[in-house]
Amino acid sequence: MREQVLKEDEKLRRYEVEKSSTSQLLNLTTSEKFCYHCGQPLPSEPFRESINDRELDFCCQGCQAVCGYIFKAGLESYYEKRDRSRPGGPPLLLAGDIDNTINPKLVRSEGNISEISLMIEGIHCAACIWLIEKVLGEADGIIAARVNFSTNRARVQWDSKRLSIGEIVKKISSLGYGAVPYDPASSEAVLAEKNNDTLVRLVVAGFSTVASMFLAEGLYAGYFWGIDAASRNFMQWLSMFITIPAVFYSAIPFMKGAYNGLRNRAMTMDLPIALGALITFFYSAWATVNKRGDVYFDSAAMFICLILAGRYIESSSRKKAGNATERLLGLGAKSATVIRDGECVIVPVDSVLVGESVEVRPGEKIPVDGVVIEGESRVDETMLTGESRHLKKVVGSKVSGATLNIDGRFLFRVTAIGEDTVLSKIIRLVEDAQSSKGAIQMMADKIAAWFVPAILGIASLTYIYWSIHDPSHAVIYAVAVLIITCPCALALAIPTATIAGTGAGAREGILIKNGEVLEKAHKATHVIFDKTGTLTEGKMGVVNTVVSGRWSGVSSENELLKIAALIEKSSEHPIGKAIAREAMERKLDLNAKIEGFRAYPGKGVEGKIEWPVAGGQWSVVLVGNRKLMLENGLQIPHELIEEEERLSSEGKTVVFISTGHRPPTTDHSLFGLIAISDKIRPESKDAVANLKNMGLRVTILTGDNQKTAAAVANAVGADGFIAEVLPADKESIVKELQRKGDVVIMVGDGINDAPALARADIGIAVGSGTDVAIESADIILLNSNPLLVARAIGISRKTFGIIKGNLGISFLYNIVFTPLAAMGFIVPVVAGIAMPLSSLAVIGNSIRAGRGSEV
Amino acid sequence: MEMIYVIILGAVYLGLVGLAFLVWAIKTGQFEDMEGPKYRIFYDD
Repeated sequence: MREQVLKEDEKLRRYEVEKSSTSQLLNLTTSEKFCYHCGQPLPSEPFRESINDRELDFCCQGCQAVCGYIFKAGLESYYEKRDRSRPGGPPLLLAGDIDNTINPKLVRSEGNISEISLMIEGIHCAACIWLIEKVLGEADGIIAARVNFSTNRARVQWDSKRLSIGEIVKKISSLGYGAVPYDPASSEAVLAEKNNDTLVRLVVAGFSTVASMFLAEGLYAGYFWGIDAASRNFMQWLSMFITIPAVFYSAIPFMKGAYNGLRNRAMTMDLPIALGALITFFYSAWATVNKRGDVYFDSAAMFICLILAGRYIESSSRKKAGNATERLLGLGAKSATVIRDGECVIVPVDSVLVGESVEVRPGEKIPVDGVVIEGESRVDETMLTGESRHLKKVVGSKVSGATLNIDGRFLFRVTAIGEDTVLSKIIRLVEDAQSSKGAIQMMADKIAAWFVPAILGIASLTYIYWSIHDPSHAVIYAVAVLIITCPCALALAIPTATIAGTGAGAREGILIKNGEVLEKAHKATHVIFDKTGTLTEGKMGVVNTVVSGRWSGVSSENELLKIAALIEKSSEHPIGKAIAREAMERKLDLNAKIEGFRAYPGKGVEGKIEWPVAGGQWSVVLVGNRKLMLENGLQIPHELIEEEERLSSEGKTVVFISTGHRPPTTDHSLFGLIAISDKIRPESKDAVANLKNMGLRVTILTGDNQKTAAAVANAVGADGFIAEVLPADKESIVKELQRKGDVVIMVGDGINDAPALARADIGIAVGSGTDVAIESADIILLNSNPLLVARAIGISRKTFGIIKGNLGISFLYNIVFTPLAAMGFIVPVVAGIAMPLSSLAVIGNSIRAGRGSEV
Repeated sequence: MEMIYVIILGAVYLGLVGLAFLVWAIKTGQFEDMEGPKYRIFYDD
């Protein structure tokens, strides 16, 4: 008892220590420049709010609102629980009333109690689960709410008299998560159901295997040292009953597969499996009933169990990958604020008409496609283009449905709805690509196509031969052939190798969605990179700084960057932001007084700095292009002009930085330039070189202009590039290459890459990519390192090697034992040992090869 | 020697009980979320 108390005490003390260290951590993280809610870096002017006597900074209104809500609900311990190393994204906000926008078919009702399944977007750590369950659990009218962390799916049961579904979705969205109802009868849920079904069958087969093996051990002991006939027959009967569930329940999918294959006049791998199991079982049953011959029940059960285990591992790795199109449909906004008769009305997105005016507020998703007619804002089009840059939208700009409005309010005129929106077109392309991608015949089925006729042929020949020479043994020898050629090793050859390859990939951060991909990837001839986000970082960054020798006060690149960043830090322009970010990353001190900031659209910015070097003097700083410099009467030094020309020919954007007095005097000196472009990842060059060493052609695909594309292709050493590609054309480029006979690997990250990813023989999505890209792809790289592309192909080639080795083993086995069986030389004990041994050799070979670090 | 029948049948019976338990666990979704529960024990208060 006392010990118990002590233990509790100790626990409490530890908890206190942990708590204080977390709060220290909290103070640390909040004092640094990160959003208190989402953990993203703060903008130059954060949203500040005092909550519970604490000054908290936020990156956007959304985070501020969500945090306020969490504190109000008394759930602030969320911030202690969650994993700071995994920052989330800004919250997804929801407009208006969504009750009437939810398909009633998705709600299952029984009396007052309704149940719905929701896909939750934005979950990044376990504390999110806690938060959602807590808020839902405490809400009046909710009976049960459970969020599955592995799949990010929630199941909510509620009393439909006290609460509407819209209120539930709104509650979740007020926490900053997106909730989209989904149909549990959809392909994804069906897949999960199938996975569970396989697991049950596997467990049953496992039971049969273990139990019948124990009995078989007894029977073998009896074979060597003698056993009385009654015990022997009892054990045989018992084995038979134990094996029945394995053969007639666990193996049913194989029988169905074999039957379906035969109906389509094809012999699939299921056929030899089903035949092997049935023949072995019925022969053994016949032997048991007639009390003559030997039984192989354990072989039948074991081999069903092993093959099911392989299938289960394969299907569970596929479980997480959902249906890309379903996810795409979930992306769009569900409601829209339309101006009708001068009034704002919230309507379901389906009822918006072309030509109507739609209002979009900050943080909302743009419902449909259109053209801005009033107001301006920045829009996050990451989901469509994969580019993380926020695009400025002014009157006349085109906006696309499902993209996210960041900070301004605007009105737009609807130009396309429903099927005609950019998003719908992409969905159609993905669907087309997936359905028309000719399923290449898998190697296993190719082998099965001649393996089955071959063994049936040999068995018939055996029967014919022996019915002439020794009719009493003809049937037994023929059956022996069928049993000994048990396709176990053959059926395991490919799945075990792909599992080994998949495992080797997973250890390096390469997720392979299904084993077939590994079979295909080794044949690849051509790798296409979508430039942005794969070979490059996908955001503007400072790539060069050049300091002119003519000015003595500024000696280092850091000093130049600092001056530019001081002026640009209040700029919203992507170039300015890139400069400010670089300065922050280099930890430069950006505390100086700035006055008279002015932006000249299309040229640059101007401002006055309290001169950091020359003690309290104000000085005019200009940051902008050549035009701005010339208009201000500045002489640009010769070497800077040369640099500028060189850098812009590489597709980089160049800004000059000058400082001095106004009007210009002789001491107004120009002193440097900064080049900005989408930074090439440091690993890209090696990645391309590796691929070329493997004998693959590397092409870069980009929507950018020729110059930029050429510069990047040059820098990484690609074989070629295709520039100015419209998003919709990516897929047709892949198709064109395939038509020429290339086996194409496509690497991409945006939604606009999804059709091409689905069309390519192998689609590889980088981890930072959008969900839809990830779901259209066959291989997912967990981090964005392009080197992993070559590793993935390397693993595929290695896996193919293992497959060949495995097939060699199983053929060797068959070549040795089939003739022996046909000649009637096989003693039961030899058969009993040889059959499992061949399977073990195959499994062993796969494990050996999969474990090698040099896979 | 008759004892062997009892023992074998008993062992098979115990195995069946284990099998039934596993099937029950699968059907009731015990294996559906392999990630969440390990965190949940820390958060339940």
